[in-house]
Amino acid sequence: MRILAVDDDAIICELLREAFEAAGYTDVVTASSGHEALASMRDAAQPFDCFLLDIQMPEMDGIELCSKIKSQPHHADSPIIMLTAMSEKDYIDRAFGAGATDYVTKPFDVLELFTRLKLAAQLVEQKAKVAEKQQTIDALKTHDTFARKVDLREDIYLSGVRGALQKLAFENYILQLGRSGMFGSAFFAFRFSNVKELHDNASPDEFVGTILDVGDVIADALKTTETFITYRGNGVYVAITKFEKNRSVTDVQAEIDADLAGLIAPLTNGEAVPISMAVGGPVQSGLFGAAESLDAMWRAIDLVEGSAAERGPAKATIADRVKKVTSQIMQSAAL
Amino acid sequence: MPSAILDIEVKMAAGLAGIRDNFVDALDRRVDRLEAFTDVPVGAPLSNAASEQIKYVAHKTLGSAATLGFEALGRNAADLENAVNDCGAVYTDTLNRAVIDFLNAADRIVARYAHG
Repeated sequence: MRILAVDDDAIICELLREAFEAAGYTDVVTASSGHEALASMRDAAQPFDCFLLDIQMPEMDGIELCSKIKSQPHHADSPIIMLTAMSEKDYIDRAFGAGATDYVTKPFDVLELFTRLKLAAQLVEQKAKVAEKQQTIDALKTHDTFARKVDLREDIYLSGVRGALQKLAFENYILQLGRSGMFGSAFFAFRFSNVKELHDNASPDEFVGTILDVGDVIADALKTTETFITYRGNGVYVAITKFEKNRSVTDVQAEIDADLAGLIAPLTNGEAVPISMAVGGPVQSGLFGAAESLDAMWRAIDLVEGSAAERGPAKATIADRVKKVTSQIMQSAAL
Repeated sequence: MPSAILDIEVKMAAGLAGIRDNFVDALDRRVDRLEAFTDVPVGAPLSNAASEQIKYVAHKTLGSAATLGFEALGRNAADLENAVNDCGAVYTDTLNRAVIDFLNAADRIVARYAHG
Protein backbone atom coordinates (compact mmCIF):
# COMPACT_ATOMS: atom_id res chain seq x y z
CA MET A 1 0.00 0.00 0.00
CA ARG A 2 1.47 3.38 -1.04
CA ILE A 3 0.92 5.96 1.67
CA LEU A 4 1.17 9.74 1.51
CA ALA A 5 1.36 11.39 4.95
CA VAL A 6 1.03 15.17 5.16
CA ASP A 7 1.93 17.19 8.27
CA ASP A 8 3.75 20.48 8.68
CA ASP A 9 5.36 19.15 11.86
CA ALA A 10 8.61 17.40 10.89
CA ILE A 11 8.52 15.40 14.15
CA ILE A 12 5.14 13.86 13.25
CA CYS A 13 6.40 13.00 9.75
CA GLU A 14 9.43 11.25 11.27
CA LEU A 15 7.23 9.48 13.79
CA LEU A 16 4.87 8.23 11.09
CA ARG A 17 7.70 6.98 8.87
CA GLU A 18 9.19 5.10 11.80
CA ALA A 19 5.85 3.64 12.89
CA PHE A 20 4.88 2.56 9.37
CA GLU A 21 8.23 0.88 8.77
CA ALA A 22 7.93 -1.02 12.04
CA ALA A 23 4.51 -2.26 10.90
CA GLY A 24 5.83 -3.28 7.50
CA TYR A 25 4.51 -0.36 5.41
CA THR A 26 7.66 0.72 3.62
CA ASP A 27 6.23 2.62 0.65
CA VAL A 28 5.63 5.89 2.47
CA VAL A 29 6.10 9.45 1.25
CA THR A 30 5.75 12.47 3.55
CA ALA A 31 4.94 16.06 2.64
CA SER A 32 5.03 19.14 4.85
CA SER A 33 2.19 21.08 3.19
CA GLY A 34 -0.89 20.69 1.03
CA HIS A 35 0.87 22.13 -2.00
CA GLU A 36 3.83 19.78 -1.56
CA ALA A 37 1.39 16.86 -1.23
CA LEU A 38 -0.40 17.74 -4.48
CA ALA A 39 2.96 18.09 -6.23
CA SER A 40 4.02 14.65 -4.91
CA MET A 41 0.78 13.21 -6.27
CA ARG A 42 1.32 14.84 -9.66
CA ASP A 43 4.91 13.62 -9.91
CA ALA A 44 4.33 10.11 -8.55
CA ALA A 45 5.03 7.33 -11.02
CA GLN A 46 2.45 5.19 -9.21
CA PRO A 47 -0.66 6.64 -7.55
CA PHE A 48 -0.95 6.64 -3.76
CA ASP A 49 -3.44 4.24 -2.19
CA CYS A 50 -3.99 5.86 1.20
CA PHE A 51 -3.61 9.33 2.72
CA LEU A 52 -2.97 10.61 6.25
CA LEU A 53 -3.63 14.31 6.63
CA ASP A 54 -3.05 16.77 9.42
CA ILE A 55 -5.83 19.37 9.64
CA GLN A 56 -4.11 22.46 10.97
CA MET A 57 -1.53 23.46 8.38
CA PRO A 58 -0.72 26.94 7.04
CA GLU A 59 -2.02 28.07 3.61
CA MET A 60 -4.00 24.95 2.69
CA ASP A 61 -5.46 23.07 5.64
CA GLY A 62 -6.01 19.31 5.69
CA ILE A 63 -9.75 19.59 5.04
CA GLU A 64 -9.22 21.58 1.84
CA LEU A 65 -6.52 19.12 0.79
CA CYS A 66 -8.91 16.22 1.50
CA SER A 67 -11.52 17.79 -0.84
CA LYS A 68 -8.91 18.27 -3.56
CA ILE A 69 -7.77 14.65 -3.31
CA LYS A 70 -11.36 13.34 -3.35
CA SER A 71 -12.19 15.46 -6.41
CA GLN A 72 -9.67 13.45 -8.44
CA PRO A 73 -11.74 10.64 -9.97
CA HIS A 74 -9.18 7.88 -9.28
CA HIS A 75 -9.09 8.91 -5.60
CA ALA A 76 -12.85 9.19 -5.09
CA ASP A 77 -12.81 5.93 -3.08
CA SER A 78 -9.31 6.18 -1.59
CA PRO A 79 -9.12 6.00 2.19
CA ILE A 80 -8.19 9.29 3.84
CA ILE A 81 -7.35 9.27 7.54
CA MET A 82 -7.32 12.63 9.27
CA LEU A 83 -4.57 12.69 11.89
CA THR A 84 -5.15 15.73 14.03
CA ALA A 85 -5.22 17.32 17.44
CA MET A 86 -8.50 19.08 16.52
CA SER A 87 -11.18 17.12 18.37
CA GLU A 88 -14.11 19.57 18.15
CA LYS A 89 -17.30 18.33 16.46
CA ASP A 90 -17.13 21.08 13.85
CA TYR A 91 -13.76 19.79 12.61
CA ILE A 92 -14.93 16.17 12.68
CA ASP A 93 -18.05 17.08 10.66
CA ARG A 94 -16.10 19.14 8.13
CA ALA A 95 -13.46 16.42 7.70
CA PHE A 96 -16.00 13.65 7.02
CA GLY A 97 -18.04 16.06 4.89
CA ALA A 98 -14.93 16.65 2.76
CA GLY A 99 -14.54 12.90 2.20
CA ALA A 100 -12.37 11.65 5.08
CA THR A 101 -12.92 7.98 5.83
CA ASP A 102 -11.39 7.95 9.31
CA TYR A 103 -10.20 10.29 12.04
CA VAL A 104 -7.39 9.74 14.53
CA THR A 105 -6.72 12.30 17.23
CA LYS A 106 -3.24 13.30 18.30
CA PRO A 107 -1.47 12.36 20.44
CA PHE A 108 -2.05 9.00 18.82
CA ASP A 109 -1.44 5.52 20.10
CA VAL A 110 0.79 3.65 17.67
CA LEU A 111 -1.18 0.39 17.90
CA GLU A 112 -4.45 2.21 17.30
CA LEU A 113 -2.93 3.84 14.23
CA PHE A 114 -1.89 0.42 12.91
CA THR A 115 -5.43 -0.85 13.39
CA ARG A 116 -6.83 2.06 11.39
CA LEU A 117 -4.22 1.52 8.69
CA LYS A 118 -5.19 -2.13 8.48
CA LEU A 119 -8.83 -1.09 7.95
CA ALA A 120 -7.68 1.36 5.28
CA ALA A 121 -5.67 -1.43 3.64
CA GLN A 122 -8.85 -3.52 3.50
CA LEU A 123 -10.61 -0.64 1.71
CA VAL A 124 -7.73 -0.42 -0.77
CA GLU A 125 -7.98 -4.16 -1.41
CA GLN A 126 -11.76 -3.92 -1.85
CA LYS A 127 -11.32 -1.00 -4.28
CA ALA A 128 -8.82 -3.01 -6.32
CA LYS A 129 -11.25 -5.95 -6.54
CA VAL A 130 -14.10 -3.69 -7.70
CA ALA A 131 -11.81 -2.10 -10.30
CA GLU A 132 -10.84 -5.56 -11.52
CA LYS A 133 -14.51 -6.60 -11.82
CA GLN A 134 -15.27 -3.35 -13.66
CA GLN A 135 -12.49 -4.05 -16.15
CA THR A 136 -14.00 -7.47 -16.85
CA ILE A 137 -17.42 -5.88 -17.29
CA ASP A 138 -16.02 -3.22 -19.63
CA ALA A 139 -14.41 -5.95 -21.69
CA LEU A 140 -17.68 -7.91 -21.84
CA LYS A 141 -19.66 -4.77 -22.68
CA THR A 142 -17.96 -4.61 -26.06
CA HIS A 143 -19.67 -7.91 -26.91
CA ASP A 144 -22.96 -7.71 -25.09
CA THR A 145 -25.08 -5.57 -22.76
CA PHE A 146 -23.84 -6.42 -19.30
CA ALA A 147 -23.77 -4.63 -15.99
CA ARG A 148 -22.47 -5.82 -12.65
CA LYS A 149 -25.28 -7.32 -10.63
CA VAL A 150 -25.48 -5.56 -7.30
CA ASP A 151 -25.88 -7.86 -4.34
CA LEU A 152 -29.00 -7.09 -2.30
CA ARG A 153 -26.87 -6.93 0.87
CA GLU A 154 -24.24 -4.69 -0.69
CA ASP A 155 -23.75 -1.19 0.70
CA ILE A 156 -23.93 1.52 -1.96
CA TYR A 157 -22.32 4.94 -1.75
CA LEU A 158 -25.08 7.56 -2.16
CA SER A 159 -23.15 9.61 -4.68
CA GLY A 160 -24.57 13.12 -5.06
CA VAL A 161 -26.81 12.90 -1.99
CA ARG A 162 -26.21 15.67 0.55
CA GLY A 163 -24.27 14.39 3.57
CA ALA A 164 -23.58 10.96 2.01
CA LEU A 165 -20.81 8.89 3.56
CA GLN A 166 -19.53 5.44 2.69
CA LYS A 167 -20.65 2.82 5.21
CA LEU A 168 -17.24 2.47 6.85
CA ALA A 169 -16.69 6.24 6.97
CA PHE A 170 -20.13 6.64 8.59
CA GLU A 171 -19.21 4.13 11.31
CA ASN A 172 -15.84 5.82 11.83
CA TYR A 173 -17.60 9.18 12.14
CA ILE A 174 -19.90 7.80 14.85
CA LEU A 175 -16.96 6.22 16.68
CA GLN A 176 -15.08 9.51 16.61
CA LEU A 177 -18.06 11.40 18.04
CA GLY A 178 -18.34 8.75 20.76
CA ARG A 179 -14.64 8.95 21.61
CA SER A 180 -14.83 12.72 21.86
CA GLY A 181 -17.85 12.51 24.18
CA MET A 182 -20.13 14.33 21.73
CA PHE A 183 -23.84 14.38 22.29
CA GLY A 184 -26.89 16.14 20.94
CA SER A 185 -27.19 13.92 17.86
CA ALA A 186 -29.87 11.39 16.96
CA PHE A 187 -30.06 8.39 14.66
CA PHE A 188 -32.88 7.67 12.26
CA ALA A 189 -33.00 4.40 10.33
CA PHE A 190 -35.05 3.81 7.19
CA ARG A 191 -36.12 0.52 5.69
CA PHE A 192 -37.06 0.21 2.05
CA SER A 193 -39.82 -2.37 2.67
CA ASN A 194 -40.04 -3.84 -0.83
CA VAL A 195 -36.36 -3.67 -1.70
CA LYS A 196 -36.22 -7.36 -2.65
CA GLU A 197 -39.04 -6.94 -5.15
CA LEU A 198 -37.18 -4.01 -6.69
CA HIS A 199 -33.88 -5.88 -6.68
CA ASP A 200 -35.42 -8.95 -8.32
CA ASN A 201 -37.10 -6.97 -11.09
CA ALA A 202 -34.84 -4.01 -11.78
CA SER A 203 -31.68 -3.84 -13.83
CA PRO A 204 -28.53 -3.01 -11.80
CA ASP A 205 -28.63 0.61 -13.04
CA GLU A 206 -32.32 0.96 -12.16
CA PHE A 207 -31.73 -0.55 -8.72
CA VAL A 208 -28.81 1.75 -7.88
CA GLY A 209 -30.64 4.77 -9.34
CA THR A 210 -33.66 4.13 -7.13
CA ILE A 211 -31.48 3.68 -4.03
CA LEU A 212 -29.91 7.09 -4.79
CA ASP A 213 -33.31 8.75 -5.42
CA VAL A 214 -34.64 7.45 -2.11
CA GLY A 215 -31.45 8.66 -0.40
CA ASP A 216 -32.22 12.15 -1.74
CA VAL A 217 -35.77 11.98 -0.37
CA ILE A 218 -34.45 11.01 3.09
CA ALA A 219 -31.80 13.77 3.09
CA ASP A 220 -34.48 16.31 2.14
CA ALA A 221 -36.87 15.06 4.83
CA LEU A 222 -34.21 15.47 7.52
CA LYS A 223 -33.63 19.01 6.23
CA THR A 224 -30.83 20.14 8.54
CA THR A 225 -27.37 20.50 7.02
CA GLU A 226 -25.87 18.74 10.02
CA THR A 227 -26.82 15.32 8.70
CA PHE A 228 -24.78 12.39 7.46
CA ILE A 229 -26.42 9.44 5.74
CA THR A 230 -25.37 6.04 4.48
CA TYR A 231 -26.96 3.08 2.70
CA ARG A 232 -26.01 -0.19 4.42
CA GLY A 233 -27.54 -2.65 1.96
CA ASN A 234 -30.72 -4.76 2.31
CA GLY A 235 -32.81 -1.60 1.91
CA VAL A 236 -31.53 -0.02 5.11
CA TYR A 237 -30.42 3.60 5.32
CA VAL A 238 -29.11 5.23 8.49
CA ALA A 239 -28.77 8.93 9.17
CA ILE A 240 -27.26 10.83 12.07
CA THR A 241 -28.60 14.29 12.55
CA LYS A 242 -28.90 17.03 15.13
CA PHE A 243 -31.36 15.97 17.82
CA GLU A 244 -34.49 18.11 17.76
CA LYS A 245 -36.95 17.51 20.57
CA ASN A 246 -39.93 18.48 18.46
CA ARG A 247 -39.13 16.23 15.51
CA SER A 248 -40.80 12.85 15.98
CA VAL A 249 -40.58 9.73 13.86
CA THR A 250 -44.18 10.41 12.75
CA ASP A 251 -43.17 13.81 11.35
CA VAL A 252 -40.26 12.32 9.42
CA GLN A 253 -42.39 9.40 8.20
CA ALA A 254 -45.09 11.84 6.96
CA GLU A 255 -42.55 13.91 5.04
CA ILE A 256 -41.01 10.85 3.46
CA ASP A 257 -44.40 9.41 2.50
CA ALA A 258 -45.35 12.72 0.88
CA ASP A 259 -42.11 12.88 -1.10
CA LEU A 260 -42.25 9.23 -2.11
CA ALA A 261 -45.84 9.49 -3.35
CA GLY A 262 -44.65 10.56 -6.77
CA LEU A 263 -41.66 8.25 -6.83
CA ILE A 264 -42.26 4.91 -8.48
CA ALA A 265 -39.33 2.89 -9.68
CA PRO A 266 -39.94 2.45 -13.42
CA LEU A 267 -38.48 -0.70 -14.87
CA THR A 268 -37.41 -1.39 -18.43
CA ASN A 269 -39.62 -4.49 -18.45
CA GLY A 270 -42.63 -2.16 -18.36
CA GLU A 271 -43.58 -2.84 -14.78
CA ALA A 272 -43.29 -0.39 -11.89
CA VAL A 273 -42.43 -0.96 -8.25
CA PRO A 274 -44.08 1.45 -5.82
CA ILE A 275 -41.71 2.44 -3.05
CA SER A 276 -42.64 2.18 0.61
CA MET A 277 -40.40 3.15 3.51
CA ALA A 278 -40.51 2.49 7.24
CA VAL A 279 -38.79 4.91 9.61
CA GLY A 280 -37.22 4.13 12.99
CA GLY A 281 -35.88 6.55 15.56
CA PRO A 282 -34.91 8.98 16.80
CA VAL A 283 -32.38 7.27 19.03
CA GLN A 284 -30.24 9.82 20.83
CA SER A 285 -26.51 9.22 20.71
CA GLY A 286 -26.21 10.62 24.27
CA LEU A 287 -23.08 10.82 26.37
CA PHE A 288 -21.68 7.51 25.24
CA GLY A 289 -18.32 6.04 24.52
CA ALA A 290 -17.31 4.84 21.07
CA ALA A 291 -18.89 1.37 21.22
CA GLU A 292 -22.08 2.68 22.86
CA SER A 293 -22.54 5.24 20.11
CA LEU A 294 -22.58 2.40 17.57
CA ASP A 295 -25.08 0.56 19.73
CA ALA A 296 -27.36 3.59 19.45
CA MET A 297 -27.17 3.24 15.66
CA TRP A 298 -28.08 -0.44 15.91
CA ARG A 299 -31.02 0.40 18.15
CA ALA A 300 -32.37 2.71 15.44
CA ILE A 301 -31.94 -0.10 12.89
CA ASP A 302 -33.66 -2.54 15.25
CA LEU A 303 -36.57 -0.12 15.57
CA VAL A 304 -37.01 0.07 11.83
CA GLU A 305 -36.62 -3.64 11.35
CA GLY A 306 -39.24 -4.33 13.97
CA SER A 307 -37.14 -6.39 16.38
CA ALA A 308 -33.57 -7.17 17.30
CA ALA A 309 -34.11 -10.79 16.38
CA GLU A 310 -34.64 -9.90 12.74
CA ARG A 311 -31.18 -8.40 12.61
CA GLY A 312 -29.63 -11.78 13.26
CA PRO A 313 -26.29 -12.50 14.82
CA ALA A 314 -24.16 -12.13 11.70
CA LYS A 315 -23.73 -8.36 11.71
CA ALA A 316 -20.47 -7.48 13.40
CA THR A 317 -20.14 -4.03 14.95
CA ILE A 318 -17.09 -2.01 14.13
CA ALA A 319 -15.84 -2.72 17.65
CA ASP A 320 -15.86 -6.41 16.71
CA ARG A 321 -14.09 -5.58 13.48
CA VAL A 322 -11.43 -3.55 15.28
CA LYS A 323 -10.88 -6.52 17.62
CA LYS A 324 -10.69 -8.87 14.62
CA VAL A 325 -8.24 -6.65 12.73
CA THR A 326 -6.06 -6.21 15.84
CA SER A 327 -5.98 -9.96 16.23
CA GLN A 328 -5.08 -10.34 12.52
CA ILE A 329 -2.21 -7.87 12.97
CA MET A 330 -0.94 -9.87 15.90
CA GLN A 331 -1.21 -13.13 14.00
CA SER A 332 0.47 -11.79 10.87
CA ALA A 333 3.26 -10.23 12.92
CA ALA A 334 3.73 -13.51 14.78
CA LEU A 335 4.21 -15.45 11.53
CA MET B 1 2.09 -8.37 26.12
CA PRO B 2 1.28 -10.06 22.76
CA SER B 3 4.42 -10.81 20.77
CA ALA B 4 3.32 -8.84 17.68
CA ILE B 5 2.92 -5.62 19.66
CA LEU B 6 6.18 -6.25 21.45
CA ASP B 7 7.86 -6.84 18.09
CA ILE B 8 6.56 -3.53 16.70
CA GLU B 9 7.59 -1.70 19.87
CA VAL B 10 11.09 -3.19 19.76
CA LYS B 11 11.42 -2.22 16.08
CA MET B 12 10.30 1.31 16.90
CA ALA B 13 12.39 1.80 20.02
CA ALA B 14 15.67 2.61 18.27
CA GLY B 15 14.01 5.01 15.84
CA LEU B 16 12.06 6.70 18.61
CA ALA B 17 15.23 7.62 20.49
CA GLY B 18 16.40 9.67 17.50
CA ILE B 19 12.98 11.29 17.09
CA ARG B 20 12.90 12.22 20.79
CA ASP B 21 16.24 14.03 20.35
CA ASN B 22 14.79 15.99 17.43
CA PHE B 23 11.64 16.71 19.43
CA VAL B 24 13.70 18.10 22.32
CA ASP B 25 15.69 20.32 19.91
CA ALA B 26 12.40 21.60 18.46
CA LEU B 27 11.02 22.06 21.97
CA ASP B 28 14.00 24.22 22.90
CA ARG B 29 13.22 26.49 19.94
CA ARG B 30 9.52 26.52 20.84
CA VAL B 31 10.39 27.59 24.39
CA ASP B 32 12.35 30.58 23.01
CA ARG B 33 9.43 31.47 20.77
CA LEU B 34 6.92 31.21 23.60
CA GLU B 35 9.05 33.30 25.95
CA ALA B 36 9.41 36.02 23.32
CA PHE B 37 5.65 36.31 22.83
CA THR B 38 4.63 36.09 26.49
CA ASP B 39 6.94 38.70 27.95
CA VAL B 40 3.95 40.84 28.93
CA PRO B 41 2.33 41.63 32.29
CA VAL B 42 -0.85 39.88 33.37
CA GLY B 43 -3.86 41.91 32.23
CA ALA B 44 -2.07 43.45 29.21
CA PRO B 45 -3.61 43.12 25.74
CA LEU B 46 -2.44 40.13 23.74
CA SER B 47 -1.86 40.79 20.05
CA ASN B 48 -3.32 38.49 17.44
CA ALA B 49 0.20 37.56 16.29
CA ALA B 50 1.23 36.61 19.84
CA SER B 51 -1.96 34.62 20.34
CA GLU B 52 -1.39 32.71 17.09
CA GLN B 53 2.22 31.92 18.04
CA ILE B 54 1.20 30.62 21.48
CA LYS B 55 -1.52 28.48 19.85
CA TYR B 56 1.02 27.16 17.34
CA VAL B 57 3.53 26.14 20.03
CA ALA B 58 0.82 24.54 22.18
CA HIS B 59 -0.88 22.74 19.30
CA LYS B 60 2.27 21.30 17.75
CA THR B 61 3.61 20.15 21.11
CA LEU B 62 0.28 18.58 22.00
CA GLY B 63 0.35 16.64 18.72
CA SER B 64 3.45 14.59 19.43
CA ALA B 65 4.55 14.93 23.08
CA ALA B 66 2.52 12.07 24.54
CA THR B 67 3.23 9.71 21.63
CA LEU B 68 6.93 10.21 22.37
CA GLY B 69 6.47 9.51 26.07
CA PHE B 70 6.19 13.10 27.36
CA GLU B 71 2.63 12.79 28.69
CA ALA B 72 2.90 15.54 31.33
CA LEU B 73 4.17 18.04 28.77
CA GLY B 74 1.30 17.01 26.49
CA ARG B 75 -1.18 17.84 29.26
CA ASN B 76 0.51 21.22 29.84
CA ALA B 77 0.30 21.90 26.09
CA ALA B 78 -3.44 21.09 26.10
CA ASP B 79 -3.98 23.44 29.08
CA LEU B 80 -2.01 26.15 27.29
CA GLU B 81 -4.06 25.75 24.12
CA ASN B 82 -7.32 25.97 26.10
CA ALA B 83 -6.10 29.00 28.03
CA VAL B 84 -5.09 30.94 24.93
CA ASN B 85 -8.35 30.02 23.18
CA ASP B 86 -10.31 31.36 26.16
CA CYS B 87 -8.23 34.47 26.93
CA GLY B 88 -10.17 36.96 24.79
CA ALA B 89 -7.13 38.93 23.56
CA VAL B 90 -5.90 39.60 27.10
CA TYR B 91 -2.87 38.02 28.78
CA THR B 92 -4.92 36.58 31.63
CA ASP B 93 -3.71 35.10 34.88
CA THR B 94 -4.91 31.65 33.75
CA LEU B 95 -2.92 31.99 30.53
CA ASN B 96 0.13 33.18 32.45
CA ARG B 97 -0.04 30.16 34.77
CA ALA B 98 -0.44 27.81 31.79
CA VAL B 99 2.60 29.40 30.13
CA ILE B 100 4.69 29.01 33.29
CA ASP B 101 3.67 25.37 33.75
CA PHE B 102 4.46 24.62 30.10
CA LEU B 103 7.86 26.35 30.29
CA ASN B 104 8.76 24.54 33.51
CA ALA B 105 7.84 21.14 32.05
CA ALA B 106 9.70 21.91 28.82
CA ASP B 107 12.79 23.14 30.72
CA ARG B 108 12.91 19.93 32.77
CA ILE B 109 12.85 17.83 29.59
CA VAL B 110 15.44 19.97 27.78
CA ALA B 111 17.73 19.89 30.84
CA ARG B 112 17.36 16.12 31.25
CA TYR B 113 18.28 15.52 27.61
CA ALA B 114 21.10 18.08 27.65
CA HIS B 115 22.68 16.08 30.47
CA GLY B 116 22.23 12.80 28.62
